[in-house]
Amino acid sequence: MATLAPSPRLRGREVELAALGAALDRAASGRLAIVIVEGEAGIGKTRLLAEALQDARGGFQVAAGRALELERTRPFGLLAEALGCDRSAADPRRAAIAALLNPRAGERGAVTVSSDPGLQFQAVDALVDLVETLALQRPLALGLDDLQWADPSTLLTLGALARRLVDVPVALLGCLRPLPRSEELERTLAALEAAGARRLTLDRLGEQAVAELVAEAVAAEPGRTLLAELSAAGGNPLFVTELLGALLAEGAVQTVEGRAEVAEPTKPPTLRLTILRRLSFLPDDTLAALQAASILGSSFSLTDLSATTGRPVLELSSVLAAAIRARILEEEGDRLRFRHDLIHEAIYLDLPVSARVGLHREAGRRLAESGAAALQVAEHLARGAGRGDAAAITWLARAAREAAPSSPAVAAGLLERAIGLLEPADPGRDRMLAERAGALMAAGRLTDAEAAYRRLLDRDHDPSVDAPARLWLARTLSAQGRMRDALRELQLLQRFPTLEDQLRAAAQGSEGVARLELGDLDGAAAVAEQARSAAATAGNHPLVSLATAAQAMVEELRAHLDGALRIVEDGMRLADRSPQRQGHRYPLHFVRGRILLELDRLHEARSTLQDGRRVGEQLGMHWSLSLYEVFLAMERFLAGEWDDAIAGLEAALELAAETGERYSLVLVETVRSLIALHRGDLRHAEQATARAERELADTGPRYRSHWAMWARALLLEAGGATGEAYAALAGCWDLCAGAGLAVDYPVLGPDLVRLALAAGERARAERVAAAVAEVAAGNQAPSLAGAALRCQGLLEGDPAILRAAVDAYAQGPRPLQLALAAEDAGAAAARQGAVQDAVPLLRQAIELHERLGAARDAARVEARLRELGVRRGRRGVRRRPRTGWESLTPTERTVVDLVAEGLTNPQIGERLYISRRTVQTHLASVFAKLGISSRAQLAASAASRRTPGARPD
Amino acid sequence: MEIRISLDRVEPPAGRLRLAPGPEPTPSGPAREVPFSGWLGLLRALYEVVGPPGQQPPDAA
Repeated sequence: MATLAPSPRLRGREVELAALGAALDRAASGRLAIVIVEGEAGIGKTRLLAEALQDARGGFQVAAGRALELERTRPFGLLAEALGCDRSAADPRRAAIAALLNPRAGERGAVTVSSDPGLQFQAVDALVDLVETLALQRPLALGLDDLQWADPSTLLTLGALARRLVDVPVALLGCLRPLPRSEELERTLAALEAAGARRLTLDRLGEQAVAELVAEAVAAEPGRTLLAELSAAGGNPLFVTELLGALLAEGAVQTVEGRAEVAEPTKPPTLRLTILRRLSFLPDDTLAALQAASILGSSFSLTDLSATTGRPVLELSSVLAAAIRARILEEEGDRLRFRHDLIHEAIYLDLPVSARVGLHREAGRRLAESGAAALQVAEHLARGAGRGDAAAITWLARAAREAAPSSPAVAAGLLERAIGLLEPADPGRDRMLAERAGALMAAGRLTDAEAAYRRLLDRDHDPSVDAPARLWLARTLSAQGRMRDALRELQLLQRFPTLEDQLRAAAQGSEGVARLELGDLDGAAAVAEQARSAAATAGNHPLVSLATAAQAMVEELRAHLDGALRIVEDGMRLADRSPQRQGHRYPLHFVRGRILLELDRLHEARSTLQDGRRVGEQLGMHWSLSLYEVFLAMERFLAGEWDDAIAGLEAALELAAETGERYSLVLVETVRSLIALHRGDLRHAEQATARAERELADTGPRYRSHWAMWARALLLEAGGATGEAYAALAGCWDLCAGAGLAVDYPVLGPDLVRLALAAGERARAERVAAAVAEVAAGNQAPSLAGAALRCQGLLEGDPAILRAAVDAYAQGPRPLQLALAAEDAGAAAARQGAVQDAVPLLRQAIELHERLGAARDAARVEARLRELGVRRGRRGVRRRPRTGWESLTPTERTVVDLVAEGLTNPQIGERLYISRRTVQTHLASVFAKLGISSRAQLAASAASRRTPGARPD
Repeated sequence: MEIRISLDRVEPPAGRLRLAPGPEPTPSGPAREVPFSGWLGLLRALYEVVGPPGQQPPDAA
């Protein structure tokens, strides 16, 4: 009798193989290449992937993994498996990732769903860094099968990988079925598509390919009746193979003179029944073992099977040998797996529901006894559970708490299942609902978290969850930038007569921050003091730091900069004396950095913000990392390094997109708008301002949201609508004045004085100049003195005062302000006929604007010079070219040098004190300017430039 | 030959299978009722009553 060949060759997939080959070629040339293969079960995706990875083995490192249905809740399971991240791995990076994902008892403190929401992002960074490091040594082919079962954290990492490693030689080849499609999978597929992923859909095999497949399988020419019989398989290779296998097993196929044929055609049943038909020829003992194994999933270890069946491993090994021979099972390392998920599914679904439930329950119980992981135990107990099953609920909750730090999305899913098993009147139900909402928040699903908290709080609920749930609801609202809503909840919370001291202090701390954001400085100061005092009494060090930071910010916004600095530095000394001092310093670094920016101490500001960001990265506190990025970008903006500023702002946006945080978006868009405006790119300036305004309309006011009004006013002025510009900026000023935000007077003052004078509003101009002068008098900073003098000089049209403003700004680090003051001084001198004084000032302004790339400002000053009859001749406005090596900024050149040395993005970031995301933004800009597309190409190009005699471009 | 199947459940099937008495001898001897559960169980019950297709050994695949 003919038998099935062990593994027939891949047929009819030449086009798809060519596409995968092209992706490998692209990766080999140094660029990220992504292909996603989609198709129904059994259509040949796995085989295609295996073939492509086999082809890659010559020039690539190959990492491959397959997601399992029963392991959808194992955080980072698929990627960690594919990359070999195991505690026993020889590579310390892999072992470190494994330790991060599965800390041993005692390595991490008590874990709750919200205790360490940043660990997930630490793990994402670590895995992306590992992929980058590996790929820079040798191109990496990463093959991931059955992505429809991939855990949410793996999917999150794939999205990050696609965004961050565009210039790294990685081929990401993934396979998935059309269903199921989780939200996380959809988001990841969108991210992969945005990164240029190619989607392939595997169709059924053509008749010719089926005939070839059959011919090879039976080592004979297939007859017409046999092919007609097999055509019922619809060109699905697994179905064809299984049907053929069943026919062979039944002895229905006869080979005569090299032709394989069936005597009479029958109507084959479904694929599932065809599979079962073939399985039915196995010995009873083997079938029983397969049925027990099907409970464990499509892949299982003999140890687990032994634990769940009570049969010795050796005996099971012998019993299952027949299934391996019949190609029902395959060996996979130290595990066995069903050759195809559909084979597993056919066996599993053939068990009566009652048997499945019982077997799962039994498996869960025995696995728990054998010390298996909580996730594995929970998965079985849950599948075997009915409503009110205490053991299943307990294990699901335990598994959720274990998963929460590295994958809050998984934790939320597990808790949802646990909640589904609870009796409606279960006393622990509300606590679990609150816990699930916390997991949703940590997963960045802020609106879902808000809805979950509200559903809980808006009905009769367990009083013990009321206060913590309302506090977290407020924090969820804050993270969405909805400060007014957050404040309302915090005030409600504090009215509870029996509120615990710790919670009251925490609520006060959050209220202080919310009030600050809303510009209620007096209110913020009062509650921050209450919070600080209560937290100090309770020994709550992180809250002491947070409240101290809020107090310092109040003083900063009132423009009491020295006092603010004293508060924050006292707070840092206190934090240093507390346990876990790094964590407690975290919010203080941020505030200190902001204050130092106001004081023109840009180097110190940068250093303290970098320290804070580093601590944040170590602690995995991604929630607020984007704010650090924004203020680091602000420092670059003030220092005149605008390309660096833009790179930092884009990094902040990426971080905000990953965490769902919207707190920093207004500031990001406003600074982008200001840079675009000064550069003369009014279209982008308008777009950025509109985005900032939309964000505010969606969420409500918050810190420096009035800057969006400032940007709008400058845009209106640029469009010639001076009157409207004045009205907008005056409105912005009044908002600040009403709230006592004196720190912004010197920022807005000079523009408002200029516009007020143009609008004939001299009284307003005088009030503004006086207010700016008062701020300058109370603080020691060159730019504050410069702003006051500039306002005064504009008001009086006095070139000498404006000259003094130039001198003041020249003492500080802000080139844009210096240039604008020089322009004002030159214009004033020109108006008084002192052309010889005006010309050098205007030239100074132009040179500064050119250095900044402020083309629009430079053109305006150039026009003033022309009015004075001065032409700059052929020198004209020196603009940096848009493309080629000469177009690179100093930072971009440094990044290029470090890429040429073979450093990874995180290594370059460490070297330059910038984030890996900012490095990536610089590199993207370099690639665009040089018209190249990979690090390898960049390194080669940089090397050839250094070689004497080589052409520069 | 005539095979009678009584179903207690449809999907996956469960019940009893019986070869109706007839003039010809059956491979498994005198007619008797074989309980089964699942499609696999049904196929196995069938083989028990009428013999496996082509009288092939079970692990021929």
